[in-house]
Amino acid sequence: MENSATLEAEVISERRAVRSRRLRRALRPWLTPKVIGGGIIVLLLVIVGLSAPWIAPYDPNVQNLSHALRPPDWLFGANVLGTDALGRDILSRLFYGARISLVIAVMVVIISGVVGIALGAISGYFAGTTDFLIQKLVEVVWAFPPLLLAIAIMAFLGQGLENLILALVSQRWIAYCRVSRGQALSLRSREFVDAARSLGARHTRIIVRHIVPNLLPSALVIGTFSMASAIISEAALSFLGLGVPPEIPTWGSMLADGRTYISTSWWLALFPGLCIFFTVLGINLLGDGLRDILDPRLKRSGSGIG
Amino acid sequence: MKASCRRLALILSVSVAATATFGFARNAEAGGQVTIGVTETIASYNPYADSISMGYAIWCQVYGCLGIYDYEKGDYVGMLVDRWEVDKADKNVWTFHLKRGVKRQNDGVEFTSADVIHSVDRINNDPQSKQKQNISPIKDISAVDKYTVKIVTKEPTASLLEYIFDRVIITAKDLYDKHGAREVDRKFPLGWGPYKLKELVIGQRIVLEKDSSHPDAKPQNPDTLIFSIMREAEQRVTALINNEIQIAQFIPPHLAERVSRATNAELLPTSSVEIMFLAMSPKYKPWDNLKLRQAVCYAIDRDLIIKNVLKAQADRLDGPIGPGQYGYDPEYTKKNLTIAYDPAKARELVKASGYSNEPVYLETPVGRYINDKEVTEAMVPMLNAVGINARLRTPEWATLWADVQKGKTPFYYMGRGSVVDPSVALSQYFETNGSPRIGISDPEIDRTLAAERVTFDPAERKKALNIAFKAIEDAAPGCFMWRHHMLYGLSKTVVHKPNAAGRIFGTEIVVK
Repeated sequence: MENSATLEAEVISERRAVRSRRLRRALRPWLTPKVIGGGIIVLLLVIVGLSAPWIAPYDPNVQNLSHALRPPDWLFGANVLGTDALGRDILSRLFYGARISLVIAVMVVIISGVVGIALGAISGYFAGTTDFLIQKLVEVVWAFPPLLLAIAIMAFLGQGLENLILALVSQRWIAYCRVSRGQALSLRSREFVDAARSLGARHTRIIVRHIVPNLLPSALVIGTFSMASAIISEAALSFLGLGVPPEIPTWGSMLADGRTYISTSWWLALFPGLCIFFTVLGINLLGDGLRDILDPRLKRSGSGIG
Repeated sequence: MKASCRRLALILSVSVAATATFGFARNAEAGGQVTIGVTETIASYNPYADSISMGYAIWCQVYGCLGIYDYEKGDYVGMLVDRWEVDKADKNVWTFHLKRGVKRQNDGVEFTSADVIHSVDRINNDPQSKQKQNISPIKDISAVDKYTVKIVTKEPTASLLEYIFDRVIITAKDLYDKHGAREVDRKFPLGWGPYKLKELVIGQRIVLEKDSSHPDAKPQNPDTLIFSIMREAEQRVTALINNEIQIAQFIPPHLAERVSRATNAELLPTSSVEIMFLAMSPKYKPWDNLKLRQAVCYAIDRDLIIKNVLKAQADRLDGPIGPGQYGYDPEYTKKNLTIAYDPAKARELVKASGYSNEPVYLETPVGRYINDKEVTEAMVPMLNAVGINARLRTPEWATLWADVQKGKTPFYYMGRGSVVDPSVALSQYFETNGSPRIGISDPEIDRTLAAERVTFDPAERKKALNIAFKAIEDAAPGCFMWRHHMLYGLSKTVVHKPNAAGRIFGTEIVVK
């Protein structure tokens, strides 16, 4: 009786050890400095962005003209990172700016991912004339320098969050489309696709159920790089005065406003600049790490994405 | 090895020393060249294709213009015109006697009345012309003889000189007839001014070269004058401190101390005659509502903005003009031009207007005027506080300016420069068909502006002007804000007294 209980405990313990070993094995590739470092920064960005209304000490748009251009008051003063030319609290604006950067980056990645993967999958799966037409469209759009195209779109449509997202999406879907198309071309002749086809599955079902799921790991890698570049482009457009309307605080517009005061009130430009720097660094590290895990071929090929 | 090292070190030190010496020497010798950091650009080789203050000043010293306003004398002085008179019997008839023997740059062709008539014709007929408002009072222009021009106005216009003197650029008829519009502007920009156009890189720089044979060009004036477009105030100040430029236009208040501290430069303040205002076009809803327009004027706390955003470097405007401008009457202003900050009244007016809270977009240039974005950002919460759902837009300057000129911008912050005699500026913005920029048509404004124009007696005209000011304030197509104190950064290697219009003439600069 005692023996069987001991045996059972040993079996349970062995099972636990096996499970723990499996978990460690599964997690090991993810526990790289790149993924951890980048992940922490991105997580921080997400937390700050989501909780901005609760953690920001002030409304980011409330002006206090008599408190304009106050330097940072590091030791838990009224304005820890100082105020801008209209007396608005820099820290609060940075928190809300994180929100905008996050919203823009995520929306751009999702929309361009959906468009790019869909077109890439259709192009690769059907090949022939469909492929030719879609790839010509890709080449035409790709002929424009990305920032120039975004500037032209913003100049034409005017300032606005939706317009900005559209301008940033305008060329970012291409990376997804090209990679997806290449993979779909190879997947279309694989056995599982033939099997689905011989069982009478329609094209839409084959694309949605069998092709697209196989495109997602690469798309995830592209997405992280694309997110970083979307944040930089948003900052660049806001810096040029073509981003979101001035009442929405963004890091790019804060940087643009700060440059006028760079020799007299350094804190206006420094803090948004640092935020952009660390965010892009974090997302790129995470993207690099994900690429190493999910698609090592891209690492070997050194393909520049995003 | 050691010897070669020593030799190398010696060569390097000599090179560094030589570079430093000759580098500084070149700066010191740069007496002949003065570079001015400016905020505006010229959009075309065609001198009639734009209507901006700096453009008039540059083309005036290249091609020549009839005359200019002398801020020292406080009166108009002739440039290509020797003297002028208004017919006593018929106030519509003006006679301009041109200077004789004025020779054109390079080829020495004499300036005549044919060139004046050609220039007015070109302003009127050139498809690129944006200066038609400058000749709007003119009904007919003819040559009495080679050196006399007769101008007949549509109605007596006391302010005609303000319209045409430094705003009708005189270009050569013979060159135009020979080469055509495009060719003549690009390849033969020759005129009767003291400076020749050497280079124009649109958006970057305009380079002028002194015509030493011109009677107004003195040896101490710069041989080369470069207008370098530097939109960023930081860039202008840094360039001034680094001796890259000698004059920096429009220093914002927060950088004034940096210029004052510099050992090689000084800060020169001058009261500007540029009036800053908010424009509301009644062509567009909800600005067709008088009460709402008036509410905007009562909602803005100009004193607070001047004190905190403009750091006291501006003077509040009560009415369209201030001290030093023609027609300013402090007594009348105090009694009659009384729009002050009154949020309670603004709120009442908004309520009475029936405004339905639709968003209105205030458009502002960025970097074109001193702290323009900041002041308009400060205005938005003030408008919101009285119940106007205002939002700010910051379009790129070229787009905004093009839209304003076409009357496509309903609500904007803008300045009107060179307002010495306000008649022209007020007609341009507030009179029916003055220009599309605001597009108001108000019979009372039209009547009072017409009345001041036909009044030639100075005392009577000032009274008439003030009545027009009141009519404009009552109709509220615009809210007058302030006049900036223009701060210039000036290198200690040059002497220059900036004028209130912000126009820079090479003949007014002396190189030490």
